[in-house]
Amino acid sequence: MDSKFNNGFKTVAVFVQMVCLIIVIVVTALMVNLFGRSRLSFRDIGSDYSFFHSYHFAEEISGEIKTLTLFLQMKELDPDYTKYKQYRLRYDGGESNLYYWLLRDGAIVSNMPEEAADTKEGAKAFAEKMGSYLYYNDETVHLDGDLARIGAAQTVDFLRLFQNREEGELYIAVDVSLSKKDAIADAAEVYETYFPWIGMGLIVAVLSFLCFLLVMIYLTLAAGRNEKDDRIHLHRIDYLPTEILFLFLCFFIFGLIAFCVRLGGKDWGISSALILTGTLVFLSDAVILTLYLSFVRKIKAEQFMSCSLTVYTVHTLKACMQRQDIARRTKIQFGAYGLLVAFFVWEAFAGRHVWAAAALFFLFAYLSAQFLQQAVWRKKILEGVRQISHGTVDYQLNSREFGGDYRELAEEINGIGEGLMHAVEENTKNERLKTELVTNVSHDIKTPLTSIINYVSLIKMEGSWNENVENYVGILEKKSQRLKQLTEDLVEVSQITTGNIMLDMQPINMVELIYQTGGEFNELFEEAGLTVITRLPKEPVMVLADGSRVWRVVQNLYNNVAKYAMRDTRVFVELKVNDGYGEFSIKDISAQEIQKSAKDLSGRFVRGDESRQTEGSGLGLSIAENLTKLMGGTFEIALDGDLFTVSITFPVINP
Amino acid sequence: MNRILVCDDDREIVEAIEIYLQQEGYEVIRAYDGAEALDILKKQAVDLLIIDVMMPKLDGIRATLKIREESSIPIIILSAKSEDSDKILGLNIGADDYLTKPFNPLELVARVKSQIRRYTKLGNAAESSHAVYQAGGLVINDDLKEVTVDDEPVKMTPIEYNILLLLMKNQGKVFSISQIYESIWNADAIGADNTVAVHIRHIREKIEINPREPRYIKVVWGIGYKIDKV
Repeated sequence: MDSKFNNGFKTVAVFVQMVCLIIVIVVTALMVNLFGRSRLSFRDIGSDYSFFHSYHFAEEISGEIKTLTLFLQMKELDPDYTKYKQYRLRYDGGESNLYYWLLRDGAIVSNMPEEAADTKEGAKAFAEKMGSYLYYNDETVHLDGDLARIGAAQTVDFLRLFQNREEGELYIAVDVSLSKKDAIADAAEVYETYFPWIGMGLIVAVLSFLCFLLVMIYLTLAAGRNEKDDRIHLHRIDYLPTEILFLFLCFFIFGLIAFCVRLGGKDWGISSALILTGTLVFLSDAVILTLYLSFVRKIKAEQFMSCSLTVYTVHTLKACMQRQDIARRTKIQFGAYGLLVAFFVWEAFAGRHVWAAAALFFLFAYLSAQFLQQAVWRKKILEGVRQISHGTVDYQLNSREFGGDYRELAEEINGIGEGLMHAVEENTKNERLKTELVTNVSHDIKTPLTSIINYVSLIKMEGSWNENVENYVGILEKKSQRLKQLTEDLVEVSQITTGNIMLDMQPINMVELIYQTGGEFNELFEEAGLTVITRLPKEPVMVLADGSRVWRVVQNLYNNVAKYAMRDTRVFVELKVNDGYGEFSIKDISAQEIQKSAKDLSGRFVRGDESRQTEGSGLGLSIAENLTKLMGGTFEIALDGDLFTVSITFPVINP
Repeated sequence: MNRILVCDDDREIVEAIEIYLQQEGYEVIRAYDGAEALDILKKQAVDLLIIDVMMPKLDGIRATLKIREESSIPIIILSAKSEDSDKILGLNIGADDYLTKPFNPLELVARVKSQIRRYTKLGNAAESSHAVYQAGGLVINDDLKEVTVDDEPVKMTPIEYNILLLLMKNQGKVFSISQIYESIWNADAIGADNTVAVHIRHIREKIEINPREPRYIKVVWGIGYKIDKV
């Protein structure tokens, strides 16, 4: 939105640019006319000489003297030339302002009046009366009047008259009143009419040209804009295809040039030439400016290429090709290239045309480039598919790098990736919500549970109940403790399975950790009647893990053994290093027959005996497995009859 | 008689805690949200505060922060939130202890006792003898070969005593099982086994209120044992 661009300003601008252009062209044409046809001399520009003082006069008079000399040379022979007859009519027929008096070898030739021509004195007097004359007598050239100013060098052509002559004298006089209508008189008239305007005309032309440029810049900026909004407004003409406008412009310019050349061939008078020029400039400016502004608007609206027949045709062809299925499209392409190759081969070998060979070469180069390009695209797409299939679901191909079917392929692959990503995100979100729910619910359970535990404890402190009540209270206490364990395990397992915990990964010594754990469980195992056989390497086994979480894992496994192993059996705890992996295993003999498969045992809430009467939440193995996997380890349960084996492995790091 | 402020929005829990504490001879004041606790603290002198985290009006964390602006009384946070991050947060903002619900009432009483003893003893710190080492309420006097926890003497076997002394002398330093073995038994730890770990557990059972959540002897799993500087 810019008030500079309102229609009033634009109209004025168009008008101003037209006037300026007309001035520039007309002045230029005038200059060309005047100087190009020797109607004026460049050397006079900037002076304020009168005609007889001007360089132009000097040029004119020397031309006249040359012609006169030619005439006088011819006159001796008196030939029957048309040209001679014209000259004789001009000089001797009294049409010229030039008078001569030539004395050669005693004979006088003159066009002065007879009484003046008879004697030398008479001729001199007549020449002086005319106002400006030239006198030559063998040795000296005397210039008098206006001729004196132009210098002898301009007039020496007449010396030819005296070649191989004994003696001679010559008077050439110019009638400065220009009483006859001859070439000099014409020149004087033109000079006096136009010369005073030349200087100003040039200045005006230069200023007009600058003005024209400024206005053109304004018009270029203003094209398509108005004061109401910021959009580009197109004119009806702008919707014509670019090529048509361009062709029209070309034809118009060629026509104009041809027309001008034709007109220029004729000898127009100055004023009519100027009027004609002005009219032509006006008309052609109107047309060219219209087309120019239309192009500017189109470029601004980014329609220059799109609103063109070529682009439209290419688009239509492309769309047509796109509609075909890939197989048919490939067939068409193959057919087209085949025909093209056949044609070029024919032309190159049968017709022996070099261009066909070159075209064949370029076609080959083009197809090779396309082949290579497609190989690159294939590679990128393969990479993208591989990334997505390996779990990088947010991997995105830049579809702009691809062309044709490959672009579509890339976009579809991105779509697959996005779909997967959304599914994963949705899943993660659901899992997190579940965890939050579990956490919140267990917090809510814990509060009343606290009261239950506290008051059960208070009941016990009251003491002196009968045996039954004491039994009941004991059951209450046990079950409330179990409930507490359950809620805590529940929170833990839900956090671990969703990966919602922070791990503090550090190099730890598995041997140390097993000893530490052994110390914690020493008495518990003794109570359960279990003998632990520990086989550990002497040197440290370093792994990268979160120590307290590994303790949780091992603690759960030991607890499991303490709970379910058969009394008076041996428990085997082993740590081995195989191929860069440290494998910890614990083996025990189950007290009861395990009815579940090994795989099911690490599921949540699963216990071997199915009865759920024993203590524990059934989450121990699930917690252990998930924690191990979170830290990058493996977790395996093996079941061979009643032999129950759990082994976990971690990659060993070098200390 | 020490006065204890118990603050929890669950009235039954407050009541139960009150019963336990009164049996031990403490005077109990009740509050049911953080704002009320702050009011009471302004009006009365209180020796210890037990505060729940999730409460209406003003929660335990914010209340603790406000109290710490002007008072240094012992604060025990009582919370259903059992994650490590919650415990760390509670202890970082100025609580002296953190107990998760559901808690063992006897453990709570023990912790209250420990905190009050330390608080009332504050100022007359242990004699500056070079043979006395202290970490919080745990004091070991090497001249008398005596170990006390919150002024209560603890009986120890010579090996347990030596292990504890080693850790107390080097507070903050982590000792591996073989290091401990070598310095206590003065022998190479070739046939190292559970021995050290078992001793450590015995020490913990003697000096800790809840051996599963030790305050003094910390297990650095897979690396060793240490006693933190307090």
